[in-house]
Amino acid sequence: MSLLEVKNLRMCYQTSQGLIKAVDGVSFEVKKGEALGLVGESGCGKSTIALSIMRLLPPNGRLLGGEILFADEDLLTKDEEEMRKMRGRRISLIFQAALNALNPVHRVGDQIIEAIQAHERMGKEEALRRVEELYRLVGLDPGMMGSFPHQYSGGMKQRAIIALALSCNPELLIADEPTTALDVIIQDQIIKEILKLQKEFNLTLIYISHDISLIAETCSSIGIMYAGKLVEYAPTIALFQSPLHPYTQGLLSSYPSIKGPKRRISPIPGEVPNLLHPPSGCRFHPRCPRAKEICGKEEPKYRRIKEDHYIACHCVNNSAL
Amino acid sequence: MNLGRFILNRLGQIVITLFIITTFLFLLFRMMPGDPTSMILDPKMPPEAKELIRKEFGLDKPLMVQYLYYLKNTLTGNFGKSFYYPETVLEIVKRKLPPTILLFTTAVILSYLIGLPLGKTIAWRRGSRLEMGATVFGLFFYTVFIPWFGLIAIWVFSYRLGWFPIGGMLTPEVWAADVGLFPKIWDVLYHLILPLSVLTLLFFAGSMLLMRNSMLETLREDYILTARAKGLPERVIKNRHAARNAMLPVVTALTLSLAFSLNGGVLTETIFSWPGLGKALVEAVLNHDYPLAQAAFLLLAILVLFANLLADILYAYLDPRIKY
Ligand SMILES: Nc1ncnc2c1ncn2[C@@H]1O[C@H](COP(=O)(O)OP(=O)(O)OP(=O)(O)O)[C@@H](O)[C@H]1O
Ligand SMILES: [Mg+2]
Repeated sequence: MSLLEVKNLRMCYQTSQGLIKAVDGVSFEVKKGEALGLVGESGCGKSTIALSIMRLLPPNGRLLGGEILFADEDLLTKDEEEMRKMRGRRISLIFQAALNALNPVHRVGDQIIEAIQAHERMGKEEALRRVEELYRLVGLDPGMMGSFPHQYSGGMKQRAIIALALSCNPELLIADEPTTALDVIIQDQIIKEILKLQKEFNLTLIYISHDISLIAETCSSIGIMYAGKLVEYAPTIALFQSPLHPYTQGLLSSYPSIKGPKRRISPIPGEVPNLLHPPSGCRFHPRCPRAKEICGKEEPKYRRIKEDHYIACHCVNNSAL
Repeated sequence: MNLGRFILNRLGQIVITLFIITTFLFLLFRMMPGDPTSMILDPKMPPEAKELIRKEFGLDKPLMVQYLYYLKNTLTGNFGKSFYYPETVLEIVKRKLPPTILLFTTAVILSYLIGLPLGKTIAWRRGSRLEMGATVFGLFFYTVFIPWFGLIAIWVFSYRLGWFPIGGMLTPEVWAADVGLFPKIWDVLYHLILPLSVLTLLFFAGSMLLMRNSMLETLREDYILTARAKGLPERVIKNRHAARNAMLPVVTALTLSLAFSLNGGVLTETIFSWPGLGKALVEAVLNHDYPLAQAAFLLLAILVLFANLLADILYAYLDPRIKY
């Protein structure tokens, strides 16, 4: 059963130069207990999807259409108060650039207690014990609860933010580049921590990153985004064994592989398109090595091509498989 | 470093700064054109009498000797006699300070009491009609020229409507009469309302806009998004997270405004015939009344220096990141 189902989601940002169509017709689903990775270059709309699910878009963000079904309820039709009760309790978000995510003037422990008490009637004592437990769970010393954020290192802050995100036992956790601000070793520890917790609590996870090798470690299926669209979606193993979309193929060959056979790293030439005036037809066609005439004219349909494998590309047809 | 050490250090700095300012003030007034004695000396006086008066004020001594006397007197809190009024400088300040505090300091406090909540609200409701209206209103009063606005207020409310007195702080007859305390207090309040309202309106605009801007900046911070993602109620996000942090820069401004308020304002005092320090200070400069002018400027310097110290201490108290 799928916990989250995003159907044809379309949203844009209003700017003085025009509408930026940051998410344009994206559909995917996440099954209960599954970990989905969303990958794509900077600016392709990953964070926008996360914020849309939380209904926390900035004031200039506009939802144009689609549905976001969470446990069979459409989040886009909920009112603000219903949504508030979902946030932090049923859906948690660890958002990007989270090093300033804690308020500098309040004690870290208090900031977690505050989140618990926003959703549950719970005395200070009991909440304190819960936070203590959470601290141990994420590998923090409960003695740090009374300290302020600036007394935490980057890795400790991120652990505290994970503790915060888990404080009300959410069903869905969205982690938007939760480790970009950290150094590699801490990054690794934090990812292991998230994975461990995901298994332990049977959490449903959406993990967002521009680093496909990181996602491969973490997630059972992967969605590849390009310029506001989902171009390919498949189970991780299938995606790595037989990537179908030229963009996915390019993305995979632009990362060095330590374990696999040696091969040349070939970054995709060209630049990420401007979402104010995206290219016509398939948005990837100006950079695509296999572009045909139709690619510049007609938008490829996002369709199922195999069991659990979806793609939007003119150059791949069922017969080629 | 702990707070005690920090305060001691700062006090040391304040002493040095004050010494420099004192010296500077001394030189400044001696270098200004015009002879101070011309105010008290009648040209028709015989030269011996003139000499006697110059001697009395120590103006016959060399500059260096004058300076040393002046330092010694300042240190012992003896600011001397006014050249102009038949009082000592301290007596003048003591007489003028209470009205100044009553009008200007009260106005600053009131303006912050109104400005902060309003600034908070309009920042929170950015883009609403309330915000547009309050911002335009605020900018108007922020830029308006005090005498112009004050005169209009007097013309409308005192002259045409007759609600308030034209000026002054009290009615001498009421204060001379044996009527008890309440009528007297009422009399002062009656005189106070109009200038206080005018000043509060002008000051409030500044504090409201400051709070609004600070709050808008805070609202862009990551931790506000976290607070939303936690599912906190709007009221808690607004007060405990946004406004609490937006207060930090405002506290500094408030402390300094309070310090400056003790100095009064010459234009306001002139228009409302308010017996405050501001006018006395300007007159002292114009009259070459060195002792009074020096003392007043020194008072201002001391106030500002201590207000800064107080602001720093408050800041450290409000912001746990700052440690001394
Ligand atoms: N508040 C905003 N106003 C206008 N445009 C925005 C706003 N936020 C994001 N965008 C634009 O929307 C597009 C998608 O942004 P988004 O942050 O979702 O990308 P992303 O995939 O998360 O990128 P990154 O990897 O850099 O985090 C980008 O082109 C970005 O410039
Ligand atoms: Mg992002």
